[in-house]
This record gives sequence, C-alpha cells and structure tokens, in this order.
Amino acid sequence: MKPLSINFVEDPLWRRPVATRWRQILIGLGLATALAAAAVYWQWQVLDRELAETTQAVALARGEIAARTPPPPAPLLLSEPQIVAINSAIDQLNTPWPTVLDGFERVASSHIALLQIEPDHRRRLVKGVAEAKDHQQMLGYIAQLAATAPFAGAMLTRHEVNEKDPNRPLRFIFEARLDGSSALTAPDAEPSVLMK
Amino acid sequence: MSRFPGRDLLLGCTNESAVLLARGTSTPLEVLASADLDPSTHASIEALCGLVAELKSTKTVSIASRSALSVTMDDSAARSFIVTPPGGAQGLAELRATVAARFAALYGESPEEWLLAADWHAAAPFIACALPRRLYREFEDAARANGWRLVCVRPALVQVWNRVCRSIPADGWLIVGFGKTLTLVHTLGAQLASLRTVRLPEAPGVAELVELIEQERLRSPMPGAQRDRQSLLWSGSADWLPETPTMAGLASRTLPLPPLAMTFVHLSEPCQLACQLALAGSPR
Repeated sequence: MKPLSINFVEDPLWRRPVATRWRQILIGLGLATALAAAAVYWQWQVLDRELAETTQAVALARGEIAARTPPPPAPLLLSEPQIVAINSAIDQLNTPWPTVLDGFERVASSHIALLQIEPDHRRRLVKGVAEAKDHQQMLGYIAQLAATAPFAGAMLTRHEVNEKDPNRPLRFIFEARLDGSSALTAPDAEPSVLMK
Repeated sequence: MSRFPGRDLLLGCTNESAVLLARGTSTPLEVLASADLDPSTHASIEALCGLVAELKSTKTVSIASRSALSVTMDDSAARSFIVTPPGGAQGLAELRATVAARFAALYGESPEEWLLAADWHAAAPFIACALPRRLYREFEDAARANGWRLVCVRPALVQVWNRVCRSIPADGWLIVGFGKTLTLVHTLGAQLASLRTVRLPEAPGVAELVELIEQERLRSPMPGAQRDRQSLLWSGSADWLPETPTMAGLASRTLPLPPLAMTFVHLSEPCQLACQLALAGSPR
C-alpha cells in the first residue's frame, strides 16, 4: 500500500506536489516569462539611465559651446533706397573702363575732339561730348563708333555750333550703347571719368 | 547560529496526557515537558487543550528556535473515517465537500469546528481525518510561543500506516494499537474497505482479540477464495499486540514500534503512552 499524505499542517505552496505535467510546463513558462521580463526591464533601466546621462552630457556640451561662441551679429537690415544706392554704386564700379576706353581709342582721329564721356550703367550706355569741324566728320565718327567694340550702337542726341570758339567747331552729344559681354566684366573700375 | 542544531521536537497527545520529547542525532532522547490529567478529571478536548497550553511555558533553553515540531495524536483524540468519492468527482473542492458531508453523517456534528485532512483520491475510497480546530490552534500557539516550526500534526494511525505501508496486506486488516485504543483498517483488493477505532475498557487478551477479529470478519463476509487471502498486520506500541503467526484462522504478523527506553519508567502510564505516540512521529 502507498503512504498516506495526511497532515493537518498544510505545506507551504512551494512544497506542494505538482499534480500534472501541464502544470509543470505552465510553471516553467511562467518562470521563463518572469525572467525574460526581468531581463528586459533591467536592460530598459540601463538604457534609460544611459540616455539620461547622454542627454545631460549633450546639454552640458551645448552650454559650453554657447558660452565660448560670440553672439552672432545682428542682421543688416537695409531700406529699399539704400539697396538701390548700393546696387547703383556696384554697377558703376563694375563699368568696364579699359574696354570702353579702348573702343574710343580705336575710333579717335585728329578731326574729332572727345571732350567728355560719362557712363550710364542703368541704361547700359556711355554718354559722350565731342567736337568736330563739320557735320560730315561728326556723322562719320558716330557711324564708326557704332561699329566698334564694345559698342553695339551709337546715337547722336544733340549738336550745336560752339560760338565761343573762334574756329566755330560743331559740338555734339552722343550715346554709345554697350554690348552685353563687355557690360558684365569690369576688372578695373572707377565710378566715373571726366575728360576734357 | 544555534548551539544545538539537529534536534527535532516530538509531541504525543492522548485524551489524558501530553509529552514533549527532544530528539537529536547525537543527543539522547529527552523529555522536555509532560502533563497529564488528574484521574478525577473527565477527559475531553477542553482538558487536552489545557494540557497543550501548558507546553507554551516549556523551558527550552537547549532547543534552538525554528526547531521542527511533529505532533502525533492518539486515534481516540482525532477522528478517522473512510470516504468514497462520488462518481465523476472533479476537483478538490468537490472532494472536500464530500468529506465534510461524510463527517456530518457519521458523527452528527457540523464540520465547521473540525479541521479536515485526507489522502485525497478522486477514484478510490480514501482515509480522511478530523481534528478539533481549537486543539490545532493550541498546537500553533505553543509552537509560536517557543519559536518552533509546526511541521506535522497526524493521528497515530497515519504515522503507523506510513511506517509499515509496504507490509499492509492488500486483503485483510491493519490493526494499530496504542494504550487502550485500537484502530482497524480493512483492505479489500488493495483498496480501503472500512475503518474503525475502538476504545477498549482494558488491555485485551488474545481471546478478546480473536473475538474482535471474528466480529470484523462477520461485518464484511467474503467468498471462500478471498477469505483465504486475508491476513492481519499488527502494529503500534501497545504491549498487548499478539505475537502469534495465526489468529482467527488468518495469517498474522506483528510489526511493533520500538519500545520505550527504561529512562521513561518514572513517567505516569498516560505519559508513557504519550511518549510512545510521540516516538511514532519521529523519522526512522
């Protein structure tokens, strides 16, 4: 006969016999799950702590960098007239004087006296004042100038006889339009040139 | 760390006496406390509770705290009975309800005041035992008051059964005798058939025992072939256990528990019985 399992003192839960294999499997699974959960929780705690430390280090580094870096300059706020004036000055400085002067040199002759040239960058042209002995020479100069680089054309805007001069020369004012390529490059530039 | 490791406490209880023994691997058996009722006092559960309560003030200088306390009850102080589980019983709760109903039917008392324990089985008859809750609380209080661990409270029948279970006949009777209490467990086809505890007026002789066995055989008549297979196994510490190889026409065998040492002869007779019960609960 088998022993009797009779005892008025109840065994603690952990000492009671496990009845079935399924219960053993369930207990094993429960223990494994509990262990896995504990491992995940522990790992999560470690990662959380590392993340907090890293965030704190980044915040400290940012503070140090901010302390060492000078404050950025205040943005330059310009009014529209100022911008227009600056752009105008830049365009004036960008006038291709060597090319322009070369063009005038090529058409220069003893019959024409070039008195003054003045660039008008907004209209991309050069205004000039010159004197000739007669109308024929004046028109020839204008035609020659229009065909010479860097000019894309020339136009007579005004002419008159200079009565103050005893030779009574023909004084005329013209506009020579610059072509696109010469207008873009300006290795040496000055705001304006006045020639007499 | 305890200065006295390895000492187990054994408490034996009858309706008239209680004895607490200490047993160690390298120390002799020692009576720590003993108490018995005045002969003029009526034995009762209340009186036994009073005896156990006296153990709370036991001088236990030589006993380490957390020592294991095993209690063995005389079969007349506890109640043992056979329960046949209902067909298709499912779950321990259903078996517990069956045991409670069986207890109420047998003894006509509500099981509320009794602590029930059983060798639970869903498909075969099993033994159930009942102990007054008040008495169990006294055991717990005595253990708690002295810092002991109450590990075991069992009737003498269960202690003896577990000692001699390999020798219990599949068809026949196990007869357990302590003092004047005799418990008969009838087995039939390796299953429990009946259980009865008899309180004897005095120590029986062989003739009374033969008569008792014949009465038991009449209670459960068997066909001739089965009757021939029946045998008897006697165990316990009673000095009237028979030594004869046959009794009432049945093969008989006796496996008595070890007798008490001479150092206990100074105790009263009820206390000596309690000592025998306490020793029945000691590990072999």
